Amino acid sequence: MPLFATSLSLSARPNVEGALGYLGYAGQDLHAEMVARLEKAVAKCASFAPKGTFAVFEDGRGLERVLVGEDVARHVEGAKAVALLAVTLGHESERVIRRETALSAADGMLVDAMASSMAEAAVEALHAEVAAWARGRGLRAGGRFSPGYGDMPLSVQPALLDALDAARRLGVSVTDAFMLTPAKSVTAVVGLFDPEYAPQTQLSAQDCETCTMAGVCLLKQQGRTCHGSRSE
Amino acid sequence: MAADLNSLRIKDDHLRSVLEGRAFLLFDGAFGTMMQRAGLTLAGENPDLLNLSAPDDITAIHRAYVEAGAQVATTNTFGANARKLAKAATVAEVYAAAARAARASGARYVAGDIGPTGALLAPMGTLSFEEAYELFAEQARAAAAAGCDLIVVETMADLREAKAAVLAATAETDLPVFVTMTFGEDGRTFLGTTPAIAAMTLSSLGAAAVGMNCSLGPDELAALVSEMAPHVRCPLMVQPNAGLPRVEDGRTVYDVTPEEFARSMEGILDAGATIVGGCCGTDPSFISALSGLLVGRKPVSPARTESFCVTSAQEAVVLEHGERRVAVIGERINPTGKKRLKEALRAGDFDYVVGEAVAQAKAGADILDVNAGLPDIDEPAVLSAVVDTLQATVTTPLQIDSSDPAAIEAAVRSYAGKPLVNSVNGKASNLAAVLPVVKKYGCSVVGLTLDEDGIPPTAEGRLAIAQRIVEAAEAQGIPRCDVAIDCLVMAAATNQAEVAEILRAVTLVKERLGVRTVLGVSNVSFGLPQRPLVNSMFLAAAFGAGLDLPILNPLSARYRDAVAAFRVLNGQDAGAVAFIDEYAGAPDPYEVGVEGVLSASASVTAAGVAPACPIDVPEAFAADGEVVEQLVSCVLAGRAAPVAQATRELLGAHDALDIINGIFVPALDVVGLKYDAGEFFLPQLMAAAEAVKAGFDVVRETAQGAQGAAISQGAANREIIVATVEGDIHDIGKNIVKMLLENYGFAVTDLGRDVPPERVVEAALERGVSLVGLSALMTTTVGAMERTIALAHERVPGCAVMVGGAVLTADYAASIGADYYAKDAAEAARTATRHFA
Repeated sequence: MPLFATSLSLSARPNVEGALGYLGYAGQDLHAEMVARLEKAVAKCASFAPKGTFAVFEDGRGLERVLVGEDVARHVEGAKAVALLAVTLGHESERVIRRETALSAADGMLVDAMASSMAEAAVEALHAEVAAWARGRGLRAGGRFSPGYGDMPLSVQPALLDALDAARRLGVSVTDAFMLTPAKSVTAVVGLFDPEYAPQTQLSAQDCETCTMAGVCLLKQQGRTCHGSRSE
Repeated sequence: MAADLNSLRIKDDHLRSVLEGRAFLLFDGAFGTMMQRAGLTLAGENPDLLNLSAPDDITAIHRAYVEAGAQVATTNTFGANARKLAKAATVAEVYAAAARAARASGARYVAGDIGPTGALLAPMGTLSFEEAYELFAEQARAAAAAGCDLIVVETMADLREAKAAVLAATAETDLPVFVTMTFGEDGRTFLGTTPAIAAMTLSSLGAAAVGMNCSLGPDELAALVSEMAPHVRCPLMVQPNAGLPRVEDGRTVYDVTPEEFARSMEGILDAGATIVGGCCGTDPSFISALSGLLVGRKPVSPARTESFCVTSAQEAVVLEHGERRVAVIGERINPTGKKRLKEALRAGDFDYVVGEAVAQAKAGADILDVNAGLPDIDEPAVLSAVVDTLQATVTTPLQIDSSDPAAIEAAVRSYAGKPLVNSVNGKASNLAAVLPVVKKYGCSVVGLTLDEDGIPPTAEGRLAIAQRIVEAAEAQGIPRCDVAIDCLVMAAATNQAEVAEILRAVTLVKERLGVRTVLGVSNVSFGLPQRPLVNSMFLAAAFGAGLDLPILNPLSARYRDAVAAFRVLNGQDAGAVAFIDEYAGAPDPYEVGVEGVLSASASVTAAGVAPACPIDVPEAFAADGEVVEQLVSCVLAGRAAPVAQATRELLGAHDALDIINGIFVPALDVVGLKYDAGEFFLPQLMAAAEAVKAGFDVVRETAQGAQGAAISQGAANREIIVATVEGDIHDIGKNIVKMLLENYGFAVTDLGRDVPPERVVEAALERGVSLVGLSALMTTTVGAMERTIALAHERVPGCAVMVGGAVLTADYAASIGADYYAKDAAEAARTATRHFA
């Protein structure tokens, strides 16, 4: 049973720069046509209603099936409490992406990338909510860690969603291969620390080094990360 | 009444009067809340197993509710499906123990509880409709065998899943089946269904009670109950939460007290709910308060509308009895006379169908007709695949158009909504074949006024057949308001005298039978010049005669004008707001000097801003150098419409194959080089490829005879199957590869995503291909890729497999047995070119 749990609507918009990053953009001349397509793709995301839920657990108790692997254990080591997060753009995003992809594979790809950047913005917004909640209780929120990072397996997704009651709160479920549906959904783990607790400065640099994707990650080759900015 | 009570096993007279809407039925409250309070639940353990391990504790909870006044004990089986129980216990064991524990409480009735599967249905998720149906069927059988008196399907967020559960429970048992869905604060389920849509769809399916549970507190639900009440054709069931939950200091807190709950429930009873109870956060004190509320109270019958309705999961078209409204049925998804659509249906290219659907919806179609009738096609399979594709992409409700009852059944069965079936006719054999399908799946239906003797020439003759159809429907249990009659339009050129009879028949059918009317409008102008003019004039006349549902091409401006204007005249466009918005300031096409503006040619002239043409204009095209240069620079800019336009111009003077080999292929090569050099990024590559595809489409449409055969043969010789492997629903990479391959002239068969190895092999054998492309995005699905490769190599000798995906590398691909690895779509196209060289 969590100490605290809440669901909320999140304000998030597509981030064109972030989306271009997912698409492998490296400074090419976009021409007016591509700029117009990008704007259209942003507009297609306007009907998405990002929602999120987070739950705070006093200690790791009850989260044994969620906090699996050494990397996430290190991520929340010394934390007073652990917050689980989930966000989704909702089923409308699935329908719109499928529709746009059927109409034009190029536009579909752009909308898909815009939606990914929007989901990223949504999880950042939720992370900020968690940080604010933590501040109100004299705690400092650490960075986000998601299933699939490092050695944290995707197979924790069902337990993570259960702990958040995410099916009921957000309508997010998971397939047998541990993919989230709607696809534009994100889950994460955040440690809540005493402000005096020595921040784990080495961790953010380490994330990519320990990641199972490190050898093949295209973002890493471009000097970027998949997990967005870190909280204060 | 939605459920046929005569065919149900009803425990006693009280339950019978409940099902007739004449008495209240009091359910229990939350079970999870009570188990938590008793300290019974453990994190990560399925609480339904407690029926086996702690039956006395479960009975104690049921007993507390019975003592508080509950007449029904709902079994503790919310998650007791084979998928969620995994191997911990069998479904039958859990229901048997749960029903025993519930009965031991002394409750008057035991309700077998069925919750959602916990997985999202395909195509958004990976669980198929039939798999969901089987899970529910097993639960329903177990509940019946365990001696339950009724079945409650509850907390459904997906209308399609709710439909699977109701179909399974009504088919597998003779118990009354109640079904409730859960809605959010925005008044919709997570998948976008409103209470009215849920009511229209589920109460037509044969549920004995329909309603809502969980979601919100009674105050918030009251508004949703009022939305739902007019549309249920059976008793209305409501089980709210004790307000909105908050978690504080390690406890879930609900903000509504039992007294407040009962007070708020009063409004819900007044709105017509007769079956009530509580959901999350309620306990016996809430049920006790509710029980007090029911004493001496009489059920209120909500003012139910006798409306004709057609729904998707997200939208409803409702024509209320006696109300002047018209709804347009878009006719374009019908292969008759449409070469491109025929090809698309044969090839399983449903993206093209989505394009037709979106265009018609944008142009104002309220319902889309879907017809996949072609000789030598597996119509049930294709029609249901098209319907599945459309319901995942567009929200416009569908009309399922087929003369084959098997195809109709295949398509309507897993449709999330109440579709319109087109059609049944007055022949006895046809009525007997089609109406049971319409009834079983809760559809609306179009009846054609023809019978064994053909189409009667007079209005009275058509009315007589219409009457027979309506009576046959009612005898089958289909209410009259679900029937629309098509009086069948004849061509004015051949049956001029009949036109007036048709219009009179529309009026007669509507007045005498009180049903809605349909007409396929454009038939009237066969054989005449200026067909759109004749059509729109006939449409106006038919509206005047009482036509409700014209079937027409919404892309025709004349039709749109007639519909928009008529909606002002019949009052549907209140205040003429939509009309003024669309037409104020628009040029009148009959005024002298206004010409049709071809947007395509306009954009060709504006092409100057595009990048310069990088290929040398071939000798043969010297005379059209400017057009070629424009075409190629538009390809580089990714502008499809001007490429199509320029291609059309060139086809006047040039050979189709010369255009492909002399212009399209070199242009694509330039695009590929730019991508390799990093001058283009992926979306630019894709946009350019799409622009070439627009040109290809023009060539294919135009090419005839030997030339057309040469073009299609060239593609057929280079056929590739692509698929995203089993378990993987991320198919964007595969879609990109498919599109690029097509534009390099390969014939691509796309099997979609989450494709089992067997299906890939079957398709490879059936089509005799020598190259299969597979994609997998996740580490968790690379195993499925490996299995697919192994099976393909074993069963399809000589077939090579090309793989790609974010988690793959060349070495990894080799280690799982792939013949080729492509790091991106451009590489895939080059690899395929080499493969066929």
